[in-house]
Amino acid sequence: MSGEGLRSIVRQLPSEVMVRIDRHEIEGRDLRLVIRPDGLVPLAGHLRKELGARLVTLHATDDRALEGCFKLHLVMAPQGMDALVSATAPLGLGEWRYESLTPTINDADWYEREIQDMFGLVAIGHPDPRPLVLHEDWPEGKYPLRKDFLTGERPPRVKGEYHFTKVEGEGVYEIPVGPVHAGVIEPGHFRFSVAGEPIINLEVRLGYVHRGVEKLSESTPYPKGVHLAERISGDNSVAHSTAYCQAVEALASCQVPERAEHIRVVMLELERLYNLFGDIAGIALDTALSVAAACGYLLREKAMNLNECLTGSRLLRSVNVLGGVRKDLTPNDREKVLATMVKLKLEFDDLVTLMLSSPSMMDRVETTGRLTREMAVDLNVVGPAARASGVDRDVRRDHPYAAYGNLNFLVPTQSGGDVAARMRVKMDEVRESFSLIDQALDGMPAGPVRAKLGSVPQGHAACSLVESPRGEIVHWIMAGRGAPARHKVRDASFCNWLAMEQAVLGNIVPDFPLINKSFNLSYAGNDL
Amino acid sequence: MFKFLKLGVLKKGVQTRDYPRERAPAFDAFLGLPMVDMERCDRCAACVSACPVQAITMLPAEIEISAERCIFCAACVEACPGAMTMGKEFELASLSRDGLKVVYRRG
Amino acid sequence: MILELVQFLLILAIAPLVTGVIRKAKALMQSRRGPSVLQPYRDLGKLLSKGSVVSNDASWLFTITPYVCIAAVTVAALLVPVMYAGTFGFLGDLIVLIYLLAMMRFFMALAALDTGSAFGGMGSSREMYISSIVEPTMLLSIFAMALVAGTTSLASISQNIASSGLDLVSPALFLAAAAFFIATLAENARLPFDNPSTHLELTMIHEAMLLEYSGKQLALMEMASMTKLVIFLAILSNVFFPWGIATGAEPLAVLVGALLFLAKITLLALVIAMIESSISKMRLFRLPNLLTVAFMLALLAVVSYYILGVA
Repeated sequence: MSGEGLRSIVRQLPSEVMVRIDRHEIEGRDLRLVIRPDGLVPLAGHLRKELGARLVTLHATDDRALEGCFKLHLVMAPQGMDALVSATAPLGLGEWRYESLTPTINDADWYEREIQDMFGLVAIGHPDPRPLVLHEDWPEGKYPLRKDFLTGERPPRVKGEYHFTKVEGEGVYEIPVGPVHAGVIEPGHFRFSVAGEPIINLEVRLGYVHRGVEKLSESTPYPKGVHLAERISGDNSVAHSTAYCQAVEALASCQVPERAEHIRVVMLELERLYNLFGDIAGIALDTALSVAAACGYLLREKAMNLNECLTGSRLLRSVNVLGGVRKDLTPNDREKVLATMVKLKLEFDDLVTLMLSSPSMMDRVETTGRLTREMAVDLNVVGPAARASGVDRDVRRDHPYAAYGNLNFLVPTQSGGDVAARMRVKMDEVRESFSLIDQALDGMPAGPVRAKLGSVPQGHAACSLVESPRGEIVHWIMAGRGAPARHKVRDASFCNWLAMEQAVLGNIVPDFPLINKSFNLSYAGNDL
Repeated sequence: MFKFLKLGVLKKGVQTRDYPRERAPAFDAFLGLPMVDMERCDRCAACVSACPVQAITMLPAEIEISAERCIFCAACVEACPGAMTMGKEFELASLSRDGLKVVYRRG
Repeated sequence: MILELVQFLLILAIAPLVTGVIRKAKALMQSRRGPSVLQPYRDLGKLLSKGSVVSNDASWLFTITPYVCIAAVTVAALLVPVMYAGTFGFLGDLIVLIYLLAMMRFFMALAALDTGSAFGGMGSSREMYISSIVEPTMLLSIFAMALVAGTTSLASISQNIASSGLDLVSPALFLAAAAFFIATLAENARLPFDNPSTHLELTMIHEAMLLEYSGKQLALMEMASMTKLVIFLAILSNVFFPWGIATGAEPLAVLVGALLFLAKITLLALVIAMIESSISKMRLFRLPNLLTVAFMLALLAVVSYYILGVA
């Protein structure tokens, strides 16, 4: 069905795009185009306007050794279809500039800045060409993801300065917060421009936890890459490793057994549960509603104890292997999960009652940190933050993977866009996760839990999308010899940080930690 | 009005334990530091090549596992033909770097 | 003389214990064991043994503020009746008490601005914003008691009300007590005004002013805050509801007074813990609403005294 939809997309492409397309092919749910660089902007504009397509990823590869040029890859997902449109644009020989997509599709902003930092390819017409990932002590001319930059090379540090957006006016001053915070959280720098207490502008500066995951991946054989993927964002281990495994399995054309897919669903939902419990408890903690926060963290602890009981790891590490899962679920495990779910459901109801019936807390969370629907769509916000602003997107329903195609669940949305809406969406998602775990355990077929991977042919690319507790994550792998030639990771937080900069405007400074916690973004997932 | 008490401590009681005075045993499936049964080890070194972080070293008569480098992923246990299991040790802190290296020898 | 000295030392000695009791009660309400009630003593001891780090931009004001604060609080403790309705009252009356505490707040706010850190500045501005309504509230509510008892010396108020049985009980007493209780929560950085156990530097009010202190100076500042809380609770229990306090120096009466004082303080600490566990922190710009309610209660207390006739 999606094949017909993709063919009609190709037929409806405007002539200015068609004339620049060198090759196109449809394989399964993927439409692959090879296009000339000047066709990228019209293509992106057409897909966005006519099909409501959202940007999945925009990145570059260094193919100078094989074909003598850099290549840009653009992947977009048309609305309402389980399909991906991937366009590859080889830049000319020796060419390192291209026309920026940001004026046409605003959410390409940070992707192009990252390409500039990592590859040195300049986007002409980009509104904000400051470095994103690399900080001001990184020397000019050294681009980490190019093939001639060796892993482990240490360039000398230089002196530099990063210019924050300045706001001028009477009584306006800047508050720099971080990267060392008063609490034990991840490092990130927030530059507020305030007039008294109301925030006029916020600029987020990240990149402090950049570990070079994408570069490391290029020298990590596929089986060990699973461990690397798990540690991209520590509390989304299963989501990232599932996405990585699915991409490599797609490249090797390996069919994962059905039982393993059901186990993957159970593990993904268990991860979603403990993350959501932590998020909801965190919102209570930041408004100083201590009993509800203690109740929430207790739920999280019980969920993590269940994780440890099933897999040996509280954060569900070492669950996925290439071709399936590492450990099977015994009938004993199944009983334990069902019994724990019953207990957690009752305690969760108590938590929801405690929080929603506290007038002082509801006063804090309502109308705080509002993100409008237009902003959410423009910036391609993903996950519960998007669903709380009325954007109805969920990868589990729109691009089913693992065993989600066989399961029934609702995608909860709210329209308020404020902290209360995000909190309610998360509460509803917890209930959906309970139901999904029950369904997955019920419908689990017997059989093996691991299939042999086989060989991974070089030169092909695969893209895998998974809904992590924070939103949609993307792993795009171009296969090399035994290890990926290019591994592009896009965590959900990469899309949502810009949205947080918009959501805080008009709120007062003491409300910022609450808004930050309601988004609950990962600094490490963003920085890679 | 007293919901925070009725749904809180009056319903659940005190839920914490006095660790470290009261022990906290790990579950059966727990992934702690790998243990080697030297009687059954045939020095095939499959574990050394399977380890993603090079935490295992084959010494002339011993096997050394570094708790500093180990990421508790169980890849070595998967690769081993039957001499390794994941232990239950999680209290691995030490006052010196050398204290983080665990050595297994025969006998 | 000895008795006044003993009760002054009692205030200083039990100050960390009261904070420990509040923390323990809050922990139990959160279904966890919590630290022992003697933990604040150990914390202070640990801080006293550490060295301090001072910002290069700080001036002499930063260094003398901890000593000014502890001195102000200690002198204020001399003026509060504990188990005997007599204090070193010749040093000052309730006006002096309020302004000693105001001096402490003034120096703390200045010291927070002194280091040039943004959080200190925010803490100072918020503290001044709250105290602009809290100070008149405190003054008015104690003043209502002074009107009822006919004197402004705290010990004499205590003595007059305690020894006259139920004659001096009037609505003014309860209204003023309610106003003073809300002022206690505001002055001592308790919920709903401020979260004393927060780690979020952007929301702190009282903690933000202490953020730059470390080592011995931090120990002095923490002790000053704890003693301030006990002074407020002592005023609430011994000036507003002083029945049971010893009006003479007989050992039995003093013992009864001491035990009743400890019981009242514990009850008030538990009430504070319960209030803190049941509500969340209010939005900054809604705090004046609550404070104005307190101010109106205090005003009503004074007005009701005059309307209901001078007894």
